[in-house]
Amino acid sequence: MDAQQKTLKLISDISGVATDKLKRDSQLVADLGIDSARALHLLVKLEDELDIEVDDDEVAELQTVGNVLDFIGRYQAPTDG
Amino acid sequence: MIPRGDAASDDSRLTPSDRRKVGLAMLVLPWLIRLLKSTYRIQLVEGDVEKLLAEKPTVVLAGWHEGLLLSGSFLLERLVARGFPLAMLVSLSRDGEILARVVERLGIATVRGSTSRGGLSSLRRLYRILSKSGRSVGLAPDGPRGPAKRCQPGALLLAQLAGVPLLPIAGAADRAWRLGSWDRMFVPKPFARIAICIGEPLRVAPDLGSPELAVEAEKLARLLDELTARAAGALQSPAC
Repeated sequence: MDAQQKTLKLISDISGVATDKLKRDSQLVADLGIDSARALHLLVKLEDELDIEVDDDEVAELQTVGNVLDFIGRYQAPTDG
Repeated sequence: MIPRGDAASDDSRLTPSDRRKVGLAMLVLPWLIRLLKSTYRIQLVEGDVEKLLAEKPTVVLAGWHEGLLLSGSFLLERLVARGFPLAMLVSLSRDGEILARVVERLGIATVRGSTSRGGLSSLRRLYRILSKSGRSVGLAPDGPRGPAKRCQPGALLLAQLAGVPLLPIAGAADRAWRLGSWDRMFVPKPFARIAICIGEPLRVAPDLGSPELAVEAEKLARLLDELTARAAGALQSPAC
């Protein structure tokens, strides 16, 4: 499972919404019901699974599923390439 | 993105004058605290320290900020000095820099930050300490700046994240100064009697969201008030 798939699986696990129902423009809070407590769970799981640390300033930019996937993609790109 | 790592004491933010103050404080404070602590008569009214020492469970210890020196004296003497690994959250302020160094000198690891300002990264660092190092974490659920005795959900969220129990702790002293700070912190006077109550371990269900955690925080606040009252009540008894 690659980083993007792992990310979608984690968002699905935390929100309870099936991965095939997740859309890039799904809002984490408004559409998926990921409140601040669940957002912290998501961050911790992302950091553990992908061995990264997300800065607090960057967290504010992660509003949609697409934002999270793009963020992970940017992080993965230097190491993959 | 920043590399992984836990921020502890860091004097890069300090001016030369601050560094001199920190140096002076480091000469005096650990010695003064040990001296004062040696005069206290500390009694555990409720709780099982021997079990904690035997099992060394990873827990979140939570107590009101006003009682930090009361519970801190107890924890240093009865747990940390006997090998119980503990870390605590210390604010990013310049005063926090002094506190962090003193606390580390006394044997408690520190994480710099707060559960409000910059709170996400602080909570995540504390989570890593709990889940990876096996060290327990102590924090004040009304810290770092209050309002006093109003419980923020950070401590509960941390226990939930790490899947560890939260142990509420409260204390009272028969004679103490009260500081003029937001929390009106108790500073036990020399030869004070200190009573400590540790509540039953609380488990935070993994599926609780923010609204439910806010309700749990109110319950924790009531529990800490009750434990504080029971500790104060024990001081009325001549047995203590």
